[in-house]
Amino acid sequence: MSSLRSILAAVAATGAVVAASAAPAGATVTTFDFHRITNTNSVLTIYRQELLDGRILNQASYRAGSGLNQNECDSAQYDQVGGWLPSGYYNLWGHYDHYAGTLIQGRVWRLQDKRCNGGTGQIRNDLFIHSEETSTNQQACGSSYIERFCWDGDNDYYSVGCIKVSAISDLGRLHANWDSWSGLHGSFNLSQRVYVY
Amino acid sequence: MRRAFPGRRLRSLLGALTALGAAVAALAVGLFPAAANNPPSGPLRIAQGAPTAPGLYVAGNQLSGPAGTSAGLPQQAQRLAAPASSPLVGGDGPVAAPTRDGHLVAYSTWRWTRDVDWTKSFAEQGIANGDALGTPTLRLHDTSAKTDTAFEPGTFGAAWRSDGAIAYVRGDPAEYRADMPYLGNVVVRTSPTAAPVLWTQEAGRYRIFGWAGHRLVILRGFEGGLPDVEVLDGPGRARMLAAGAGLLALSPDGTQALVSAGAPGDGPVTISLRNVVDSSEAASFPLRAVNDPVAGQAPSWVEGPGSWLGDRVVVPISSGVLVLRVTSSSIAAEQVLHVDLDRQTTGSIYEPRFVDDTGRTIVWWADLPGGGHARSAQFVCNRLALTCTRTAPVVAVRAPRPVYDLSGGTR
Repeated sequence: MSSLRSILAAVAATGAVVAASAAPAGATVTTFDFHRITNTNSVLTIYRQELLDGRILNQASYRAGSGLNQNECDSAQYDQVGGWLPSGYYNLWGHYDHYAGTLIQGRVWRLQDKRCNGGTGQIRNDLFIHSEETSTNQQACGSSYIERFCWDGDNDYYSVGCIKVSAISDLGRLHANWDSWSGLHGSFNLSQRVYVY
Repeated sequence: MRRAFPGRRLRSLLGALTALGAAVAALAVGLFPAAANNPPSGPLRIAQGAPTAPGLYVAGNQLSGPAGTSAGLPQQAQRLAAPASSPLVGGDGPVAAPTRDGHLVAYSTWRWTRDVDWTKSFAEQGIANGDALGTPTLRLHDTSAKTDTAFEPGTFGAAWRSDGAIAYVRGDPAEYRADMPYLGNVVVRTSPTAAPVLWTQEAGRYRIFGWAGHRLVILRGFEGGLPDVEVLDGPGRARMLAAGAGLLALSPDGTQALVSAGAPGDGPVTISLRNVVDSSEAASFPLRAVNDPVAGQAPSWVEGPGSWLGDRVVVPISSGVLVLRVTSSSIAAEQVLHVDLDRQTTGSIYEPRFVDDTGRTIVWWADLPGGGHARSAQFVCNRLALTCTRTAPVVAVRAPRPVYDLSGGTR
């Protein structure tokens, strides 16, 4: 966290973020930290920070999961088995309320690609923060049960490489914080908005 | 000074390996030693050493083998024109594949068009959406003539048909670009010098797996979705083999494919045997039926690529390595080789291969845990004795990877 704060301060100081150069006093930035602990029990924190000095104004943490194993070089593109997402800073590429992939739907944040640090040198792609819900933000847990769109247990924290939070307890609060602190939707490209360690 | 390995010797080795591959279909149970009929499951005892194993391997720009036949192994190596590397495929497929006659090795390379610090975000480095970051290029190494030629830029992931045709993916555009999926088409040349022919009609997230006789088995990815396993019966003739599935292996005779469906958090995991000719299911097997005697529970995931020898298939699982017995109409678990993946690896095992005709020796590699620079090592295991010897760690970019082709069958 402190590293993110210092990075943001440095970014602001160097004007590397375009918005920073025109940022009015009191401008804020919304960021995420993902602390990898285990595949099903890690921590995702969302921050609202003062843009100019990185001071944390608000924060909230949620249980989160990532990957089926802890090998950040293990890609799921051939076999549906992937490790947790690689460490480092990520751009945020977008936020959507009604994303409609065949595996991932609903409220999602899209992350940049990231190359892993290991023997395969794999470029991991298709990285999201998401949960298990339908594109209309519903739970498919009833008669039309679809496991990947129904949050029904801790096994749902597993992913093929993305960051996942509970649709029952946390996704709504995470999204509400995002909406009130950032509010951005659709495609964009924001530097250093996610830090994974 | 490194001396080039005489091409004839390496060619002979490749020929022998090819003969081994061709004989795979004939390797019925009877060729396995008696002990292999009832192999024990249990923990693999791993010791560090200087193991030797049959096979051909690539590490960076060095092509070497066979191990175990000479104390001067490094002197037997051949230097490739560029390091073998395939960051678009990673450990999901071979980085280098030999022709069946052992004459040529097609290998993937990568050239960065700008420096990228992957611990930082793109924008922090002035990388804008759409900026070209790197280019894959498939290269062809002639082990006899010791020549090395490049295919067109944007190419990677080769598989050889039995008659010498080669399939690969060609990016459109050729460069890997920031904030853009790497789209490409499947291309086939009837020989390395023949003109490339498009086998797909629209660029997509294609990856080559291997030939199944004259048919080509590929994966097609989708953003935010599961990949489909497809069969190309010819140019423009795609059909589904298994929707939303992973691909583990192709049978040596090319008639069947072993796929996986489901994952933890996405329903039960099932291994399915599909007939390539019509996509019908010949057998299925729930992963929960596997008993790992060490973990006391079934593995949670299975991944590819596996190695298929006779009626045995070895694949990585969440608790090590699983050996399956697979006939044309059945799948059964034969042996669990338990590995503490968190202690011995960074979390998973790459590219396990049967490397002798008895099916006794399995070679795999992994990244090693620990901070600092990433390191990798090769593991040579006797699955009947439940022992492995691990090579000394090397920097990850020089990880020793097997040279193989996942294809099966003849045209």
